[in-house]
Amino acid sequence: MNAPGVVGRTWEPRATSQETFVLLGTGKQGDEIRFPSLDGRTPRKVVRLSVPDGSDTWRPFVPVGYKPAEQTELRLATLSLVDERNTYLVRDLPLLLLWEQGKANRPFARYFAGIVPSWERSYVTVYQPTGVLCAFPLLVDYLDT
Amino acid sequence: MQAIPRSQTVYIPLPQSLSPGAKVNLPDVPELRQGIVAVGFETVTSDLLAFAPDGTQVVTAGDLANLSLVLLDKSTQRHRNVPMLSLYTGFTFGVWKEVVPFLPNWQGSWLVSGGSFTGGTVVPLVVYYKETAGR
Repeated sequence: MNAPGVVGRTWEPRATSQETFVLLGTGKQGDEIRFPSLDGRTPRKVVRLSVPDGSDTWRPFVPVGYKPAEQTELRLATLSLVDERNTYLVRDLPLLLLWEQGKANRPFARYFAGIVPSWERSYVTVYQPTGVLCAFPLLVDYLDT
Repeated sequence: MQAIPRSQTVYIPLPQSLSPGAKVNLPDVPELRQGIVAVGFETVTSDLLAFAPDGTQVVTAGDLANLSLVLLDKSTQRHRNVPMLSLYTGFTFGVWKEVVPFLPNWQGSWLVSGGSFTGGTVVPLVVYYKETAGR
């Protein structure tokens, strides 16, 4: 899913960005949340991952009707990326390590060496659902392969 | 900072109470025991991650300040008494600690406490690593 104003906001030479939204808040402890909007996408070399702060004035992009996930919810979840061979590329990375909070000048994000995850196999783990349905954007910068 | 080849978070459980000089051995990490070299580390506190996968609470920044890390390369103390707070990227604008690549001896490594505090929490250690030839 691409949001207006997001496409073309690139940080790496030849990288393009794609944004997906992950829903948190419901379910039970240990649930693995997949990336349905990225399923079936051509595998890409991921060079950067970030979670733009959905409540920031410069990044108000979350789907209409959903509460933007904040630190309270993001600190309850980690990201795991798995490749086509079922090998972990990233295992249990705390989501807040990817959190970019513009207003607080927290330039958190992580740069990767062209890892190629399978979005069908990759997931977010929630360790304690809050019961409040919310969403956060995951900004994926990738190279065309 | 170099681009991250791969990463895995290792969870180090702390005993119920710690006193000055107490050692906490790192758990074994079978997935990272061979065919890899670690290239960097960082940690998080309960500000950034509330729970480990088993539901144990993550250590607070206040408690983390009591801990330092000794990482072995085979039997050599490769990184000795690294203050854990120096690996906490909440204080370093997200800049994680790079090291000259080496294969850690996980079970031979430990945390050491410099003070007394109530444990029962877990210390997440994010390991950035790359695969070596032959893996």
